[in-house]
Amino acid sequence: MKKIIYIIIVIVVLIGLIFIITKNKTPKDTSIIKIGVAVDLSGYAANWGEGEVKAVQLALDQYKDKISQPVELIIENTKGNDVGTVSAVKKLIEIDHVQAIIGPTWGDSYQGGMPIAEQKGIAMISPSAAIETLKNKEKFTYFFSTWWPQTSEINTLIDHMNLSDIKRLAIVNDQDPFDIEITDSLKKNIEANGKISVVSREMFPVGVKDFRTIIAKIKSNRPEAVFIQVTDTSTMGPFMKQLKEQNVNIKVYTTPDAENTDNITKFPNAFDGILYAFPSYGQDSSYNALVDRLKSKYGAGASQGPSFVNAYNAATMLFEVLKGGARTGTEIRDALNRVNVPGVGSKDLSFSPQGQLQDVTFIMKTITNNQFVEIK
Amino acid sequence: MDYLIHIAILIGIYSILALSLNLIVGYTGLLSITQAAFYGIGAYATAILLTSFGMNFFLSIIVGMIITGVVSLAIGYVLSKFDGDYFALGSFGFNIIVYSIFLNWQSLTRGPLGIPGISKPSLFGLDFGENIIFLILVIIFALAVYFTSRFITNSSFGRVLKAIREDEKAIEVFGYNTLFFKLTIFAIGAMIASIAGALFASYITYVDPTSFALSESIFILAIIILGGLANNKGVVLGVVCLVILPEALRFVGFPSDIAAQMRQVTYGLILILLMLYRPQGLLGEYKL
Amino acid sequence: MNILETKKITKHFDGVYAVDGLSVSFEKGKITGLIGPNGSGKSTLINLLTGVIQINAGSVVISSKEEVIKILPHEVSDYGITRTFQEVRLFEQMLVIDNILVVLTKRNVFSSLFETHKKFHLERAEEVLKKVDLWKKRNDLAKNLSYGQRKLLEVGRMLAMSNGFGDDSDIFFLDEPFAGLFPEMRKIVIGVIRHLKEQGKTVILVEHNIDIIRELCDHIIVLDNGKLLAGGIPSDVLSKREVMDAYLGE
Repeated sequence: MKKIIYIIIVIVVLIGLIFIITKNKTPKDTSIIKIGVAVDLSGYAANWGEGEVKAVQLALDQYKDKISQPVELIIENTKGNDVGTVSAVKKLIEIDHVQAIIGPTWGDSYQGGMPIAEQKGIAMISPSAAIETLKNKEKFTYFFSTWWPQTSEINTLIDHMNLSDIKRLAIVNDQDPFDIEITDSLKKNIEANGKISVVSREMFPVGVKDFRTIIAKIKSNRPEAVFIQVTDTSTMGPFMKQLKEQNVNIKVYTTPDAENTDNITKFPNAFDGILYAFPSYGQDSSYNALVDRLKSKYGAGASQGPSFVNAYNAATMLFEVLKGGARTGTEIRDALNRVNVPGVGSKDLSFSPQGQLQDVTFIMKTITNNQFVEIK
Repeated sequence: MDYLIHIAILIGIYSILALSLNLIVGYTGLLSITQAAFYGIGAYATAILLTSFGMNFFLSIIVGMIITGVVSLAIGYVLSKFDGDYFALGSFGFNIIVYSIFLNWQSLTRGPLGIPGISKPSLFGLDFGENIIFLILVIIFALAVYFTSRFITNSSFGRVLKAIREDEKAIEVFGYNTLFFKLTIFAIGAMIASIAGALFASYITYVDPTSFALSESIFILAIIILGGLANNKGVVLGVVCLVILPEALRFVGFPSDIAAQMRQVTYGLILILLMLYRPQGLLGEYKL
Repeated sequence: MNILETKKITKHFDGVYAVDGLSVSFEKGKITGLIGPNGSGKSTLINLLTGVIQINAGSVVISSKEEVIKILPHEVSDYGITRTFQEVRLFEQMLVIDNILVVLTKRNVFSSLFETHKKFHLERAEEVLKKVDLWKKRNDLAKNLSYGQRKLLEVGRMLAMSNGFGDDSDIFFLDEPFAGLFPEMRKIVIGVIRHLKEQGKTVILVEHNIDIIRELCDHIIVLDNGKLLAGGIPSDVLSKREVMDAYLGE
């Protein structure tokens, strides 16, 4: 029996090695442009990654006839962890010889791929990396992000709070690393602003649905508004419902995830009055057209994921520079630093010197009678 | 070639981790689900000492081992009050506590933002920055750990550990203060795991709490069960299989819209089949 | 001279007294039989004296020197005590020879890691395994032995504790060592017990077979319901009416 096991293992390992070596020995086909897509397809952020893949495919559909060579997308799963991200990036660069990479998902949480791309001179555009959180970003000139600048969103919220004369704010968030980081940033900016006091800060594990104790604690501090940030958006409904049940009648601010039709369906009218900053692309006809194309290609029920538009814009910017003739890693990087192209939600998609998508404006929105409405 | 070197480095690091846990679970019968915590302490020790204090990598390993040893003795002492399943649950709890510390002690660990920019090792002018040289370093450490494990398990001390695994009360009656033996091996296993953490931190150049969550402890446990408990060679074989298999599956041509999910399903199926037909593991003789 | 004495020791489990104010003594260098009906407290007494369970009340005097109210299991061998178990408790997934070698190892963590005297231990293990006729099975796993062989291995393990090496045991508890054994194997165990006596060791034997008790024991203690019923030389004790009634049901 042991011998059989040994034989099976040796065969599996050999097959694996043969694949690798064969791929490695395949001469680079310079007639095809290979673009890597390193996304989370099975980990914690799988719904983000799924949306990112669809967005990149849709962007390619728009550009495939405009680029002088065929473009092949090679999709690798980062598995939502550092090791998976590094493996995916290495495989794309070393084995598949991609010319650029879109990804990784949550590039701020899984930074292991960045030094590799930098060393090999391959541009990476992450649709979901908050560049503000990256320490020593200046060392990574090949890394870009089309995620919304968090400071724009935060400042829009603070401006609205000031306009509404909010003086006392409670902050509530789950312990997802990104949520902690954003709410820390919000708290810091509010304190710097000086007009609002944060009277309460409550954190809880991801997925909690019973907020009664938290709400009671908040209530005791008499805030005029509460800001809530969660990763599991299905917990928003219980929160809103329990707020009403405990007669806590204060303004509720949250993130763009509030635009979630599932929540509205399950908790009708519970979300009425909630306030959130939303990228202005939502008012753009290009966004509606993109959603129509998504449904047409992937079915009416196709989900977008939180970074769908970001991924589409990332792909658009990359394909635009490919259309312009950039091919090597350095050419692509340099072209990305100069690119200026209409995208979803913006007429001028471009990167700042730090590689951050710039000039993204946010508008304030609310939900009224289960409809998402801009506050003018 | 660099990709193969990358896989070899991962095999080396996980071998060190798996051998460390095998001493605790396979040889001593202590079902510990906290090894990722010690792995993380070693990684964070190296990350902080290198980035904030410019300490030499090899010195940071020693410091990391000392910190991990002390922490593991404290944790081990508390866990020694439990038996069997309760020990496992207690260790599970400790992993969560340590993960929460990584996540929330932001002034030290930068919390969810992690610590980037960890440099590669160097010693007396020899730079381990190139992956092939780093691989040689990992192999040296892995071999040292392998032979240390072998020495421990083949010694009289190792025999006592096995007796503790088989029937702790019985071996106590023959004059062994099993608490001391259990604490010793728990600390040794933890310190070895911290070496793996230091190598991981330096290789990936970035650490954040998510790499040391409970799922990682469970993965390491799966490796040693698959490879064969209380068999050092089996454990290394388990590492080879569980590191190479998911990477090899990247090359299996499933349709792209379901490829990732199919690979996960295939991986899971292979594990189930192996456990059905070989429950003692590939080279194991001992069953939990 | 008494090597071991109990002074009114008591053990109860949820209000049920398994050993109830028991005061008995065991003479040095003799073989004492411990008999009584099922549930009389024999195994409980051994478990108390070997630290497997703890005394609720009373004390134990060891070698006329130390009086203790608590015996921790790992301290038992320091008192010179060793034992076999009623339900065989071997180290199942270890080799036969390792089951013997493990009790020869130094008790200290550091010393056991850097063990010296390995050759001496192997010789001692060989001697013991040959005495219990298991030398040919030395490289088998303990779990693969037959029932009788497992009993013999337990006896061998206990015998290895009289290792002539500084931390010798003096007091040997055997809990029903003959149960389920073929006559040939019984002879081996009888041989071991006699050998221990020749070495001046003290043997306390729990056994239901009255013939073996008569053959081997210098002294008998009879328990019933956790209390002392009778004690003395076999011919006296076994002729007492109350012993016949309680134990033999006659």
